[in-house]
Amino acid sequence: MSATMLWIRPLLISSLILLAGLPAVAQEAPATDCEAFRLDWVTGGPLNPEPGASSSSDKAVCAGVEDRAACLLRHKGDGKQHDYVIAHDQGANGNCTFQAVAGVLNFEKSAGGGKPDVSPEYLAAQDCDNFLPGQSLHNTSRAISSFNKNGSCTREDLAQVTNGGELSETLEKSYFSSAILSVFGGSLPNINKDSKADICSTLSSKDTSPGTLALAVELGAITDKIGAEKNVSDAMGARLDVEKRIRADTAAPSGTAEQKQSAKDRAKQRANEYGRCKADQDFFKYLCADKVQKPGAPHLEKKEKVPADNFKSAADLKELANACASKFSKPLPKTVTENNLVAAMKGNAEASDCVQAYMKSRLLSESVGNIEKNGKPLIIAVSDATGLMGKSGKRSDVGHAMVLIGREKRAGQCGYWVRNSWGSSCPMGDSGKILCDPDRPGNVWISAASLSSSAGVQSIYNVSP
Amino acid sequence: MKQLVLIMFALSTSYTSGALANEHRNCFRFGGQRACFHELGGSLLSMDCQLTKERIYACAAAKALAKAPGLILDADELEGGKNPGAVLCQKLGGRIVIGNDRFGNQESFCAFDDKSMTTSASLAYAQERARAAQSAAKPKPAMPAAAAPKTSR
Repeated sequence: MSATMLWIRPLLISSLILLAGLPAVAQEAPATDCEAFRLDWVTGGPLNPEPGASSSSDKAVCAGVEDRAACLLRHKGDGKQHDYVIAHDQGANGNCTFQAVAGVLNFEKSAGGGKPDVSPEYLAAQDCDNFLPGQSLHNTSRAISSFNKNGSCTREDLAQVTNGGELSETLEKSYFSSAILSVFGGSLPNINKDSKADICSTLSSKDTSPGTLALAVELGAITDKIGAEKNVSDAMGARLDVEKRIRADTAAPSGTAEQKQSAKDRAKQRANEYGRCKADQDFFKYLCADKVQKPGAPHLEKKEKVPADNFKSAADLKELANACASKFSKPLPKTVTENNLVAAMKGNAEASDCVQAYMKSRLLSESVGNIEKNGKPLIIAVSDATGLMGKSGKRSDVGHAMVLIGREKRAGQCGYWVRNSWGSSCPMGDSGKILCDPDRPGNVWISAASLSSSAGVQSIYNVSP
Repeated sequence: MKQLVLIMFALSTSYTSGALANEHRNCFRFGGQRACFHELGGSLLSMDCQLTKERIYACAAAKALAKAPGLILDADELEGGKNPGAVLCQKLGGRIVIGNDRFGNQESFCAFDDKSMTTSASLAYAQERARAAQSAAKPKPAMPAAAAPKTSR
């Protein structure tokens, strides 16, 4: 990249940032080319049998698909029932980047004939520093580093804890009430006694299966181990200190009473999430220490960011200028540079929106081309997930990460298929901006216009090994 | 209160026998237990939430579905891509529980002290429907024409 480009690019970016505060204008998607393609990431649903069912595999995978031959080809024509990747629901946990990273890793495993069992919860629990003051929760790079360094327990090993929110809450409650007792005068035996009592009373009040009771015994033993660690009090004390620091550092020093309260609530929430993360980390360490699977080779992270990263040549700039020519108040010079493009956009929200939407559209289109070429999904980071999906109100810059898997024209509009981590249902399915695939729960179609808007794509990550 | 009763009535009248056919689809596992749900106008409500003599669903989950449209979420509350329905659940005093459908797919539920439950998605959907109804009542701004990038694949 030339020195001039390095100097000019920040101008373009900063001008876009300056204009970002203006009302978002939805731009139309690329109308010329919306060739359908989707990684056949068949999730648990009508296209797949229930877990454990014995069936003729390829028939199950491609049953009901119009072009069965093409479907089988996407399954590498091996006629095998690849283990499918279930739809995840992150609930009220802010772990979308880990969900997206685990999604890509699980797809790779499934496509390679392996079991898609990377646990996003395990990955998230290895990076509790996400909750420290000044840290952004949206950090795909750190999620990848964490996986490279720590590997992951399998989802199955943690299933009863991570899938049973109630049990998980009980663990946290018992763990932390014990921790507080230990730090503020309680004795170590209380940790074991209280934790086990909480776990047992929760489980015994229900119609527990032998598996659940066995888990209770295991969890009771884990609380013993944690409690028996010599430095447990110090560790608990340090953790509570960090929680206090998070509360203090995140609180807004000034503002309206409402803003102060909001900052206080948020600080409290972050502190709680940090504590919960550390509790999970400890429990997971004991639950599956001997089953951690580490990657054979480190996964790399290549990021392409909007705007500008995919517009590097004079030809690119010319194409961009032509596409948005009608939005500029006067014609651009014949030789378009970032400099004169930036100058022409200054104070012109319509031109800026057009340029940004054009860049985003092309990045998305190129990304789907790469997915098709390489047979691997990518991670897509968007600015405002709830805005994309039809909601509005007091929201802005609500970043979210999902997995990009394809493109298709639906109801006359071009759009992109993503795997989201908000469960298997389609909460905002009638917004017109999104559609869900009932045959593949968790697959969500988002219109290209939405993804190219200011709420749309910010970055695309390739996390292949 | 009047609004709540009206919404309860709307929920109750939209519950048809056809929904029963979806019972299997609307059953989930929570650890070792299985629970099934009514499907009411796009929302799921736990089976133990029964109609009262006044033809309303009076459980906490049904009340939460009625209250959800009135809540506003701040950006901060959704940090980390949280499921907006799950955040609504917490604001409504519910507790998040993750269930699994028969295929193993996860779905987050909002559980209340009276043991009634609804899905997080149902809460988000209730809010979305109210928003859509509001915006349909307002005139829409004109959309400008847009450029169509040439794709280079």
